[in-house]
Amino acid sequence: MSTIRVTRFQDQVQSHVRALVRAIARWWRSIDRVLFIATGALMLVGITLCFAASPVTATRLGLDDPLYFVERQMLFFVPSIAILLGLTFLRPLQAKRLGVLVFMAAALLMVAGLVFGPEINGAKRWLLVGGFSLQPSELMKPGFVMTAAWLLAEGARDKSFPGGLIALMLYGVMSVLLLMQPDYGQWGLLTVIWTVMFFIAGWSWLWVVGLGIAAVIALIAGYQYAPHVASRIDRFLNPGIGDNYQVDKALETLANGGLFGKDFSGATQSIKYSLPDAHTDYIFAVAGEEAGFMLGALIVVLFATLVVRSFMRASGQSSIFMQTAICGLGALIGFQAIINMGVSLNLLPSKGMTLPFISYGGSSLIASALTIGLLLSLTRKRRQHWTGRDQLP
Amino acid sequence: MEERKRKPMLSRLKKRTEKPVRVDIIHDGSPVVSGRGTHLPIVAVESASQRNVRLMHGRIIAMAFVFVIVFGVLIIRLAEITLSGPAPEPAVRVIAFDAPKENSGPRAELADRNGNRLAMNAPTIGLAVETRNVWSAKETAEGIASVLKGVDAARLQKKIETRSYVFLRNEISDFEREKLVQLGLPGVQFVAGTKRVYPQGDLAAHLVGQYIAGKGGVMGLEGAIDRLELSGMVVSSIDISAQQILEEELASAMALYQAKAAWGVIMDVRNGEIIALASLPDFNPNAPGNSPADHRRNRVMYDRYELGSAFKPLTAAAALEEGIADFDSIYDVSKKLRIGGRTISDFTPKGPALSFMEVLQYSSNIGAAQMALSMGAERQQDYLRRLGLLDVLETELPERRPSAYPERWGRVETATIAYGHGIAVTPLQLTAAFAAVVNGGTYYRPTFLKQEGVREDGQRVFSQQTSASMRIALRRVITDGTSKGAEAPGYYPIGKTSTADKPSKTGGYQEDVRLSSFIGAFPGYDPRFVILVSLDEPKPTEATAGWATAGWVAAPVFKNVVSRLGPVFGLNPVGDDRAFAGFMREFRQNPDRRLALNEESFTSPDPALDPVGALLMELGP
Repeated sequence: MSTIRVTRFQDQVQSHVRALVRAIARWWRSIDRVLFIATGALMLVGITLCFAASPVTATRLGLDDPLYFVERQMLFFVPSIAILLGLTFLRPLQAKRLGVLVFMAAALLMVAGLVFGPEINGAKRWLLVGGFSLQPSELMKPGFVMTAAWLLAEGARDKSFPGGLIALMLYGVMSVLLLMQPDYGQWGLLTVIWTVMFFIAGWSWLWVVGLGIAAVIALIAGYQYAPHVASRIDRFLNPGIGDNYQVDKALETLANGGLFGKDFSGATQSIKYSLPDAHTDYIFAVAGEEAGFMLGALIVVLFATLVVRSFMRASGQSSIFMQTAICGLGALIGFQAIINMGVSLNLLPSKGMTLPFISYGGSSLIASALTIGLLLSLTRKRRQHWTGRDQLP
Repeated sequence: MEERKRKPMLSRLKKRTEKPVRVDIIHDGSPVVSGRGTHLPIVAVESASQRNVRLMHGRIIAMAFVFVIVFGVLIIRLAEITLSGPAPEPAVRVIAFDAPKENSGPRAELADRNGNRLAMNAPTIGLAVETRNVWSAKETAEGIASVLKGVDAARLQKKIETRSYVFLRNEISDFEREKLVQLGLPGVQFVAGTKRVYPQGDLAAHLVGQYIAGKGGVMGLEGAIDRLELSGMVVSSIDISAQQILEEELASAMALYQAKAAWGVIMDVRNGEIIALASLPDFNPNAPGNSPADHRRNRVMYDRYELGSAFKPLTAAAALEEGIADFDSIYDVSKKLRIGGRTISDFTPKGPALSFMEVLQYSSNIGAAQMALSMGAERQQDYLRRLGLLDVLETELPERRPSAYPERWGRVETATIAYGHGIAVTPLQLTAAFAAVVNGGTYYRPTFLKQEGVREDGQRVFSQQTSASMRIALRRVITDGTSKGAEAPGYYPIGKTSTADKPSKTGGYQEDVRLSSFIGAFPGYDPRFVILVSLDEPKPTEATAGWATAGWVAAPVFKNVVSRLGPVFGLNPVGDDRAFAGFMREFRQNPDRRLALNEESFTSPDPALDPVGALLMELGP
């Protein structure tokens, strides 16, 4: 009697395990493995570089524990990976709904940040949540992409539904929120992504050009009325004037790297110690010094893979929502990486922009995981049991 | 109209899900067998935008292509930077914190030139745990954590359990020590240590620098101790009285004009000793972490700026030395100067023609550009190089910054660099170069250590006569030119204002964003000290009649420093006769010189063309 029961129990366990293995195998076949592996590789690079870069900042701040930032960052990796994996199980429709929810929540939190948030370095971008500072605008970006894609697609499907205009209004509201903080970097990023989505959703060149002109006008206004923006642009255009300490240090740090990274056994010392923000805005420079051109190029190639692969998958889609959303998410990651690396390479004026998955920062990491998670869920292989409702416009 | 429009839209928003989906079945009709039974395949869902979607593929591919190009540019740029070889020389040598320097004997102490201590070693009581004597790791860890802030009991307990010796603090207070003794924990040790103390606090902070235990000296003279492996008592060239005067005057001007930053340097022209050097805002080396990293930067040595008109004396001196200009030279400034598509104009246009001295006096860009153009790029570069402006300025201190200038040095660059635009140098580089103009023509590399005897390593750049002529010309700048505010009675100072406007995006200049500097020397008739003071982005006040140019904001700082500094070094105000004799000494010693030896031999009717006459007029009978 008991033997039978045990055998049955074993059978049950075995069949559950088999079912689980099958489910995982099915999941593995359904997701876009190129995107998945590239993301994983970026996370590994991020963990490694966190060990190299953040003790620098911890030491400079006089923290007792040089691994203070490393430990905190590891703490953020757990929920980030969970979010990323969890999202890959969503169907496009669910992903769309989640994106819209995230967008609404993040927008509310941004308003709350403006009202209740602390002012750090003259900006109100953060909310303090149990010892951690949350930057809702990071989460807003992927949410905004999903929402805007939905509105644009509805607008295209049904000509009498002014989806494009509503999306444009949302963009306007978000711009006002970001500029009130102020956070010109995030606003610039949002504008570029919005333009890309607008373009891909099939709006005429006239609109795209008009939006571009509006953005340039806004930039000029920012230059005129916001002194720190003006000074950053000035310093970039005319390096002789003022201090370009961070950029100069970043370039020196990079130049130290050579092809395979700096030889640390030698007498000369690592320059990264004199680089402020080594763990956030200028982590790419640390990558260049630690492992030279090869690691730097690997990071660029990984980001390029993410973007190009998303665009390839988008072009294989036959729905405006899918195309716009996938391209928007890909462009979000891509532009953010380009801006960050461009600043370290002195191709762009300095902007406080994190490098997705690699820079230190919980909000940024979770937002990046959210972005890639949504991207993976949208690019999943179509399953037969999905109903007609999963056919998005 | 509005009514009609709103209604269908709202109903659509509400009923959208109820709308039937148009499904077109494109199939031969044969049933398909799959895991979910036999059914007809849904092949395509036709939506209104179906055709659009296809059209959009081109746009997506185009966007992807743009991304690939941008990423390609990043990789090329990365290769350009990383593969171009290592940085020429790290600006600040930083010692990795995991490679502490071997300590042999007590660290060298620092003093100013009169023996006032700048950095000392002080004994401390530290705390460590000898773990083999510990009875209970938990109790010990919790006991220590209850007394010392910032100690994590759980982490400490783990360390005590796994290591044989745990070093906790280099310094604990007597109060903390008392409490730990009362706890009576076996294994807890109070170890003797030392710490670095800076008795002058934030006075001369950038010069003294900073020492970090385990890392060594990371800035200033503390860095020099490690670089040069100095020991014992290091006597620097600094004079803390002079330092205090400079810092006070800079700080009050910085507050008055709401400047972003201010800096200054005082150098002995006879041997290159740096008497004082200030960079504001500053920090307290005893608690460097209390100030932002930005404040710890020595702007005089570690930043480079386009310092503007202060370059004009260098150009003028080179022109005199080369014999392509003298006091009789006349420069046509009636028209703006056009070179290679660029127009050079003067801030305050004067007359159709300016004499050599008036070019300096009215700070004429056109005149300075003409001098440099007749000299040519090659000779100009040669002078700037000999004045130490094109190479990295090496001193004992670790701070340094290569100067920035265009690789292509054509006619346009020659013209603009003549008046200090298009070349960025550290303020210290400029100070040393200016010293060579006024001290009789010898360039001394600045030094931060007290020099005994005469320095032999000076490089002659200008003749004594060129230097004497420049002293007279630069005196005119203060008496009749842009720098009247720099006049310190009895010291006959000489010098030049420099207002570098920061460019705006439109290519013009911003009215209120500028770098106002004054570089000068005193006593003018026999210079002893060169002083540079700069205010970064000063705002005009009512007292300056709405101006924030150097003549209004920087020159008075110079004047105040001169008036207070003279007596400290035994330099007292003199009368006109003594000053005149000093200004004329070089000419009177030289029989070949056409210039007047006394008042009677003046012939020129126009005092503007006759420096001696002009000088006499200004000095009075």
